[in-house]
Amino acid sequence: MATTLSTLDAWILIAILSVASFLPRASFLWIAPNLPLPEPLKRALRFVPAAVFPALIMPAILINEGAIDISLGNAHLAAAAVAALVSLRRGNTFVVVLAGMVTLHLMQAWHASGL
Amino acid sequence: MSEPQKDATPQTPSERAEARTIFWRGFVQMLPGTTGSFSTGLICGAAAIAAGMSSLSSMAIATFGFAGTAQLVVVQLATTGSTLVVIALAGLIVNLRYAMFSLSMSRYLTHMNRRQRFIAAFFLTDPAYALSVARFTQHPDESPRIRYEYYMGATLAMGIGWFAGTGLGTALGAAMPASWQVEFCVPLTFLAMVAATVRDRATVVAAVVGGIVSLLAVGFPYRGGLLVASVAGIAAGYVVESWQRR
Repeated sequence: MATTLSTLDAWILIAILSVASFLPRASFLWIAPNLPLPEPLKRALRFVPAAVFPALIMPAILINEGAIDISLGNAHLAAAAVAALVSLRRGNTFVVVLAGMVTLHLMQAWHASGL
Repeated sequence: MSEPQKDATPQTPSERAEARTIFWRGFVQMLPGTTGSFSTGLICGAAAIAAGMSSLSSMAIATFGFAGTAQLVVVQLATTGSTLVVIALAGLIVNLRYAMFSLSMSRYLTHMNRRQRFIAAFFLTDPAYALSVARFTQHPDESPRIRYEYYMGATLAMGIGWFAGTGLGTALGAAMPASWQVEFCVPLTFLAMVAATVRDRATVVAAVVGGIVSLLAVGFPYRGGLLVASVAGIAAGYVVESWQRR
């Protein structure tokens, strides 16, 4: 059951998130910038963005009520598919996001209409 | 390679003019991506108010945390009565990808003074990282100073979107209709960036494996699945590249 945070809770939370956000970001940029890295680790770094973004995206578009949903009934999937097509046609980010959001709301209106 | 550490501050007037140009180029090229930071801020602000935080603490957590996903996770855990240790660990795990970005960025942003490195680290975000690294790979001859300006321009755009969104979300509070589903702007923003990060067979494999594992690991606690999927994707790309080299 959700509770409401007290003022003290809120400031403790702010302190916790500040540390938990800054430490990973500061690790190499601020704390240890000149740490010599072994060659394999440098090569692995090249794959960080390629691997992380799909990992952030896929659950948001394919998980529907806790399970993988690959069907027309999944409006998020349809929206992402349209957005991906726009992205491949070299649309800029704003156009990609707009195309996705319009598709999402159209699909949900369509489902709600029961047609 | 024992070049002396000097800072990346522009010295001559022509250097300063070039720095300004590239700073605003980063800013403008990041603007489309600010739809993501604006909508994340909107959700985070509304969620903080819904959790019982004051307007001041909602803006404070957005400023000092400067992390959308992690903020949503810790606020949600706090309202469901998790212990402080669990909340802290969860926040750290969600943000661990920034250690990877931090390492990656530190290889491009060399020759910076301590203050510049602090700012670069504090305001590190996924979209500014993705945009900047995409540019750094396409323009490998640019100096670290020029890279820093570009990244700072992108970061300013991200920050404006984030604080505008948080401010509006905080003001609207729970009045914002859930049916708008503004939170879906976030994965769509990342989706628009995938094309720039995928360049060859090895990076395609990294992306596909990262995506698939994230689905299999979706039940992992504290969004730990994100970390597992990232490591799996990186390892897969690495292995494919090793095969190709033979």
